[in-house]
Amino acid sequence: MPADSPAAPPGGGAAASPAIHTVELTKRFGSTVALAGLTMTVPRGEIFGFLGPNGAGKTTAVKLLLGLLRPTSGEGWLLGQRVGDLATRRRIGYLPELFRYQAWLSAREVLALHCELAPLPRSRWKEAIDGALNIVGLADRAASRVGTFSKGMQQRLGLGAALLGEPELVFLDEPTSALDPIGRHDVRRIIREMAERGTAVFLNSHLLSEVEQVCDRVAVVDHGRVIASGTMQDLLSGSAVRVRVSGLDGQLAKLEAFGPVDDEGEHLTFTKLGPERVPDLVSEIVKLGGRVYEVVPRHQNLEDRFLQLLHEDEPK
Amino acid sequence: MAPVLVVARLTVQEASRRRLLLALVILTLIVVGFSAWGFHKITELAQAGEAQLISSQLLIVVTFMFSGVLALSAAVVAGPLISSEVESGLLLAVLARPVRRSEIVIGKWLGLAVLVAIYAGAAGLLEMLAVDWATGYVPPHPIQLIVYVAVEGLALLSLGLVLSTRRWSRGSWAGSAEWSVALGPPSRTTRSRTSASSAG
Repeated sequence: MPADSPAAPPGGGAAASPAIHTVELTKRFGSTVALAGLTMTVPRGEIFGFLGPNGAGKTTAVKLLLGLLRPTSGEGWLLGQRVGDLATRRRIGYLPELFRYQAWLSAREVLALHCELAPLPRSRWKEAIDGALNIVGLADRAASRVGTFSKGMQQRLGLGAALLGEPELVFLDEPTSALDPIGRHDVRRIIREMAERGTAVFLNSHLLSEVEQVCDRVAVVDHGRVIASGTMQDLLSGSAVRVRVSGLDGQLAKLEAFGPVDDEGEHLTFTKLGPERVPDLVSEIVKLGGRVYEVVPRHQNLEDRFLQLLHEDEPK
Repeated sequence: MAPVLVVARLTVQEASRRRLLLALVILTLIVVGFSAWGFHKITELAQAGEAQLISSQLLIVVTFMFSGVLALSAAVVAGPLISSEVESGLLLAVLARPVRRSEIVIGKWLGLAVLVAIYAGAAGLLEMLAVDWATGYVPPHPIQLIVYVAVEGLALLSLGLVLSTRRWSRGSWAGSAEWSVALGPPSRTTRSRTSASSAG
């Protein structure tokens, strides 16, 4: 449970209210629990990473927050208004995980459609559309039919649609799933620029390095619950030890006193182990008949922490 | 523009850009052309006085064919319309805008209804002009004839759309009542069919 969630829901005072606040938001599909009591707060103007393995409930959470699904129980507020409030959606942008846009329209027409539905005043359309096309790098394909676009270009277009009208809160659900490394770099830049303008970004991703590079704050979900949340610094205060070793076949279980291990064959990463315990670890490995080639203590990265959290969350 | 009209416009735009309308226009012209030729043959083969009777009966048959094809294509187009757009993700980005779900369903319906009405009007008029040219026969209630063709298409279109949204709501979407209430039962349109059935 995150320590930073206020006890009382933020009702009035829209300017002071957080971008997102949820209390025990729950969604069941029949007997399947997709989201089991999500409680979290996303401050305004921050880049918030929402992490979790496949099927953890990330996309369900986004759809609940946007009012595309109705919660089974629990409550949520966006920008100080209850989830599902129609007027609040004027101030929100959304790039779905499953993105597809009208193939028979041109890129410019798709953005115009979103300007019209947003709705933006018609006098601002041209500026907003040109701006969005430039930001996502589609200015030279503005007149092309979306049907001729690659997946990556469609995702860029979706990002452009989410940015229209400088929303106060943007939901990006796996925004780089179809992009090449250059595209991913561009998206990170776009996200940072949005945050500089004061837009809160809710980044739903399982690309940990990406999240680590851009996010101010993260929450990790598993089995529909938040299992950890906080600023990146809070979360990554621990240290990890990476060991290159051979001859330990089948004996990994005997090292469980040293905490969770990420086993990548020759390389073992002890995702939560302080440097002071390295001598003990090495002597234990040697005692088991292992041959140690390399020992590298380092700061925990998000992947270490993520694997550690999921390991701890596993039902014993 | 109100969201309902935006969605309706988008639906008409889609049909026209996807060459659906063009194909329909070409096929209709071919059918009208052939039937005109057929009606013309009647006047050559039938004895005087009989041509009028045969033409009137034949026009009823042709009208049934038109309305059948129109109703069938309306149902085929409307049936998978919304559920397929949800499955493909096409509607997700639109639904996150300040748009009610009912506005999307009504907008889609409105767009398709306009297409059906225009097609029924144009094709019906064209066919009657062709018959008039070939045989000199004009049906006694030409307007009711066109209304009958259009209403049959609209009734099946409405039914197809309602069922399409219900399938959606039975899946992962909440609020099935909201979806089906959006259009209301299609009984109003079927009732007016009886009044128009004497048209031919």
